[in-house]
Parts: sequence; C-alpha cells; structure tokens
Amino acid sequence: MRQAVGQAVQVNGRSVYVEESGRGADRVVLRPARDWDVPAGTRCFRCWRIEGDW
Amino acid sequence: MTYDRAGFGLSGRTAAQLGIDDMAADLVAMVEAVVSDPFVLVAHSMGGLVARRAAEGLRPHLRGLLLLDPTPESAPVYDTFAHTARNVDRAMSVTQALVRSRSLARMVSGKIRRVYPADTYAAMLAEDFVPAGIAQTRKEFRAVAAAIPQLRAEPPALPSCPTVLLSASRPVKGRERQHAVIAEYQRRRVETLPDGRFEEVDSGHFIQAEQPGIVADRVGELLDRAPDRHSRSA
Repeated sequence: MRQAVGQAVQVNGRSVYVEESGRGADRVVLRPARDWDVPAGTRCFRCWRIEGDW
Repeated sequence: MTYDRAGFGLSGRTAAQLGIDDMAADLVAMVEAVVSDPFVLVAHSMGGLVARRAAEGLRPHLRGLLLLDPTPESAPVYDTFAHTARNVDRAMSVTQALVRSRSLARMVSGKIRRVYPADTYAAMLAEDFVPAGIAQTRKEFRAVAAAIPQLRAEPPALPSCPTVLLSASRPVKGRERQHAVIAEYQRRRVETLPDGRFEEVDSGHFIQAEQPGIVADRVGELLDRAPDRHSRSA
C-alpha cells in the first residue's frame, strides 16, 4: 500500500478517505491481508451505509 | 483497507448526485492510487453493485471478489424498487431530522448497535447517524434506484476472477418470502460465473458484523488461491 493510506486521496475530482486495516481504533476493518489472526469480535469493514432489509 | 465513499465519513462532501458508475469509478481510481499488490475486493449489499461495475476496471491485480449479501438487481423484488425508494426516502427524511438529537440517533440506530462492536458503532453514530450522513444515505438510495434499470439493461461484465458470494440465511421477520427470492437470485447470479461459489451463512444482512471470521477466512482463501488458477479463470 502506498503512502496515501490514512489520508484523503483525490479521485475524479472528489476527496475519498482511505484507511488501512489495523489502524485507528474506531475505523478499523478486518486485519491486513496475511495477518489472519482474527479473534472473536474483530472489527469489520464499513459497508453498512444502506440497511438492506427494505 | 477500507475507504469512505465520497460524501461519507472523512471523505469530502459532494453536492452532486453520484451514481453507481461514479462510485465504481472512484473505487477504481482509489485502488489505483493506494493498492499496488494483488488484492481481494469485498463488498456488502449495494456495494456489490459498485464492486461488480468496478471489477471491470480493476484487472489484473484483482485476485478475487467477495460479495456479502449483495443486491441482486435482476430479482423481481426490485421491479418496483423506484417506488420502494421513494417510500424509504420519505422515512429517511424524518430520520434525518430526528438524528439531530443524539438520544434519538441512538434509538434509530439500535439495530446497528446490536450487531457491531462498540467502537465501530461509535464511529457510525458520529458519521452516519447525523443529518449529513442520513442525507448522503438518501442520495445513495436514489443512486441504487436509478442504477437498477441501468444494470438490468447493461449488466456488468462477468468478473474473470474467482468470486464467492455469502448469502445471509436469516430473514427479517415478516420478509421471509422476499428474502428467499433475493437468495435465489444471488445464487443464480454467482452460478453463471466461470469461477463462482454461493454460500449461505448463518447471519442477518450484516454478515461482516455477525460472521467476521467467515469473511476473513474467505478473503484469505481467495488470496491464497494459486496464481495459475487465477490466470486460468481470467
């Protein structure tokens, strides 16, 4: 991963914030690839934006 | 790694109404900016629409696609989604006003609180269950409603990488019939792929919250797939 991770990158004229797994206590997703020691309760990625039970 | 789609979280606000293709273009550009190694793309729910569109532009480093209870736009339950989206939008306009109150925000996000870890929920409460967050969610709902007929008319190219679809087994109470139809169309979709696998998971819709270990395992499996197998499926 390049240094842009942990910052907002400019894409298509828009600012998109990128976070590396394993960093940031409240923003973390699954652990980085190859570090698969996933204990119970491991945080998960943020794809909840739209609830799917309509 | 993960990212906030434009308009959400720590990403910049957007005045424009973005479509699914815009979100896919952002995803492709973001990956090109920050990912240099082979990777697995994981997408949940409507994110599946974005990911399938983005996958067209993500070769050759895309090692696999993992779809978590994705939206199968071809299912008949989405025939009237434009109408559904209008109703949802009306409901969310009320929610948008309610979440100015933090206690009401906690109340309306109760279902989320029950399935996510406390710190993740805290971030969601601060970023999503606020008026700006709900407003952006309404925009994305409109994007999904607009995309469904478009995707039906011009479906994304079939991903050439291995694809695993995890389908939530537990329906919302009272929506069992709709749930069964969605699962059936998820299965049909993935079975059309050259290297696709359908798997039912003991979970509600938020598989990444309820079954993170299974998600992690499938990501690991896709990453560990032999490169020559990847090449054969490409």
